[in-house]
Amino acid sequence: MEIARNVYRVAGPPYGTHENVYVIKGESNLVMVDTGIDEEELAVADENISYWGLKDYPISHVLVTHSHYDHCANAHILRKRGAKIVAGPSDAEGIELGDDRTASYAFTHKRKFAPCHVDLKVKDGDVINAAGLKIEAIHVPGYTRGSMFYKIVAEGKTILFTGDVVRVAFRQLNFLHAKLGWSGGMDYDREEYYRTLKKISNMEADILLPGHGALCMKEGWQILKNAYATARFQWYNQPTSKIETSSARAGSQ
Amino acid sequence: MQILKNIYQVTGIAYGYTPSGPIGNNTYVIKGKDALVMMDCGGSDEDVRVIDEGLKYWGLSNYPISHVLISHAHAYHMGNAHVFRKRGAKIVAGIEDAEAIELGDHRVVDSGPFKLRPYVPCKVDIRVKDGDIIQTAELKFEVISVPGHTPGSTLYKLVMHGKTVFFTGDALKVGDDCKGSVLGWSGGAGYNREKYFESIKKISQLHADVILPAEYQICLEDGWKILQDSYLRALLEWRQPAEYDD
Repeated sequence: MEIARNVYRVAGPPYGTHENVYVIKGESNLVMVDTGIDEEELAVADENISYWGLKDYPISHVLVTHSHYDHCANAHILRKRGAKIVAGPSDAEGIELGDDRTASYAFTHKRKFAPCHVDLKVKDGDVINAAGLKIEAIHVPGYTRGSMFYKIVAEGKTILFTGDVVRVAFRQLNFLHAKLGWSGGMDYDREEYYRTLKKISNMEADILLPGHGALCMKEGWQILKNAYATARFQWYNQPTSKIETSSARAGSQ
Repeated sequence: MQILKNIYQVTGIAYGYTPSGPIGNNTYVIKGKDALVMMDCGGSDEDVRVIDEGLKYWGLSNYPISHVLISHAHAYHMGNAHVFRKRGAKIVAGIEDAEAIELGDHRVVDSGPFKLRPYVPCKVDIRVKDGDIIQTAELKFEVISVPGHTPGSTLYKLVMHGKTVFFTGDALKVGDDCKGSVLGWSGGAGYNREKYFESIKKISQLHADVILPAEYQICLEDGWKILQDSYLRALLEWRQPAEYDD
């Protein structure tokens, strides 16, 4: 589906996949956000890219929101096709080593993670010039150490790719609300995550495009605010899940 | 958003957060050769504003809306019919729901949780029954009657770019995960579960690629799975409790 002009969702729940994959059409190239979990999911993305007449545009960059298997397992395939792989600090290293930072221990029903060189390691505030687009990288650590938001402004609308850090959910006729990320990552750090949510709660956004599930098409800043409120509500008085934040097991595979 | 080529979703829960409450109703716009067809039209002023904003964004504002196809006579989904009729659109609805739309009585449910403005009755230009065809702007919609949620609940079928698209109204909705089905609310005055079950049995055997309901999520691939799941859902949810309990 074309979410906004030149911004497409090419895999996701409406297409029978669990992860969302997006592409942005630039001048003569595409930028992909996250890669999907397996070759089957990449085939869904490819099919949709064809459907929207984008097949002849090469993918110049793949922006990885975080290093978890289901979001970057196809990076090595896309890199072989000529795309530059972009990821945040620490997460980039996880993708290159294929260590526990990919959470591959949670995806044992899938083939072994194929490590992939990361061409561009971004940090907070970096601007990625890709396909004639200016894409801002925003570091949002906690969910993983190198989780990134990627931000574009198109026709006056601020679009944020939020990965798993802030997801969008709705229940029946209730308001949209924020949903926080899974806590099974080896470098999940709730204190850090909380600080991130606090920081982004005042961020401007119109459209939110998360790594899984539903989208928010309007007033995305409300969801960002709600994410902070949700964290305060859900995490209040709960034991921290900060069990392992060292890289003790990193690189052990 | 443009869901498929020339099929747009202009309201829905993703467009939520309005002063008057969430925009939970999905409105779709289909672009034909020289005109638009609208699938339901929302029930609040805010819905009209968001619909117009979407039409403008996608460069569709200058196309006339030839028809508004109404899935069922609940004000939440069609309370704006009079707005679009004034703009020249023909209003289309199932025979059994037309009277409610024209009279605006308790059957349109403009009260309760929906916080709508008082309902404005609207003439129905075309009353359709099972098997009818609506042809306009080189688009062809087939009418499939699915009574139960309301007496005149109607499903509209459109084949476009080789894909069979079902606009299912509230008769069959798609769950949060885009996998499971969700059945319609049972609070309407004309709700009839026996008829509804017959409708579910009928549609669960049909083929569709894409399911675009009046609420919640959409399904863009293997829509027939949602149709089949609705039959299972009805069996599980509607079976009466056992008479003897141990």
